[in-house]
Amino acid sequence: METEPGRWMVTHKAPDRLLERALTAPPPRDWKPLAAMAACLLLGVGLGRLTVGPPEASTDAPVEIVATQERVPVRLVIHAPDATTAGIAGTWNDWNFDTTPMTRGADGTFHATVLLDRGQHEYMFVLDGHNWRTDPSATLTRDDGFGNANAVIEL
Amino acid sequence: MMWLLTIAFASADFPDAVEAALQEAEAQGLPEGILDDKAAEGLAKGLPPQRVAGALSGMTPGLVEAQSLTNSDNPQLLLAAAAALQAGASPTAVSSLNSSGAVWALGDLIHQGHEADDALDLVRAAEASGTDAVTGLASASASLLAGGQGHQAVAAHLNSALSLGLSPVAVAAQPGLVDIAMANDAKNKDSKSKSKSKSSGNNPGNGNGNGNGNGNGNGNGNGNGNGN
Repeated sequence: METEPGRWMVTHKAPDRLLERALTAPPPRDWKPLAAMAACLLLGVGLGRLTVGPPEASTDAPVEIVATQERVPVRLVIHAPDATTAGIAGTWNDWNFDTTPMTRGADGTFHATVLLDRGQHEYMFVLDGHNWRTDPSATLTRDDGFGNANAVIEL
Repeated sequence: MMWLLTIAFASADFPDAVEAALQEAEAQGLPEGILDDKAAEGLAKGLPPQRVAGALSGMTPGLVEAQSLTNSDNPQLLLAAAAALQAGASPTAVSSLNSSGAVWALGDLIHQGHEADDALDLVRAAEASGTDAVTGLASASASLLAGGQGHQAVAAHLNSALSLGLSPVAVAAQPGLVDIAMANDAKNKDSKSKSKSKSSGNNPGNGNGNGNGNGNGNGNGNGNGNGN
């Protein structure tokens, strides 16, 4: 597949962050499950995201990542041959690693490309959904205040 | 309809212990929500709410001090200032910097082991050369330190780079850039000096003497034309 200079193609699923946050966020104290389900359904239909029957377009379709002056694609990699799944949790996705899954290569190396705003971002890798790991190849890290270190990207 | 959406998309509530720590921070005059991201981070990492609350409470006094020092309600600046103060930066140094990026860089450099004064000099030099230089400064330093250089050598290396207008990130990726740029700079100065003296000798009293052939656009050889 040909791409223009400055464009990257990745094949992970495109997360609908707003909807996904609503579906995965811890329930509030006055949680009303039925009302919330109805609201999600209404909003999902409204956005054309939730449909009955075959979707109009597969969510596995390639997502185009386009570099701009304000946003920069960053490819993050971790070698974790013993892990089954991996994701990235960081300041750009509210520390929700589900929204930035990584793709596993044959040699046990996981990778993902994320499009980040210029500035600073902190992140950690999450292996198998629970094993939080500082990026071993990060040059800059910061104490996270909880006894671990976040890797820091400066763009 | 709206109430349904409001319920579905209400911002995540925190456990009571965490909520209490957040409210305590606000009660001390800190900007609303300044610790929300940190709370979300701790909970996402699977830490017990009590431990997250303890960490947040531990951060609050530093943020209050940072707020008093910077006289600002910018959350990013306060978080950066608190981290820099905790790393060992002096209040004077923190309050002398102009952006949260610069303050983060100061704290990161000190945390890496640079002397506080050296770190401040580096950040000021980066600020003077442009905001992009500040953004990559701590990463560049970390990269050079990881390459085996000592702190003073790294500080000198980055200062040279900044004075030559080089990006710290580029220098970290290719440390030899500074040597190349310094050699070019010396060559240019030498060329400029020769052109000047040639120009002076050939154009007595002219005062314009071209002599600019050094390629950096600075050597316009305006020599005062004293005709010596």
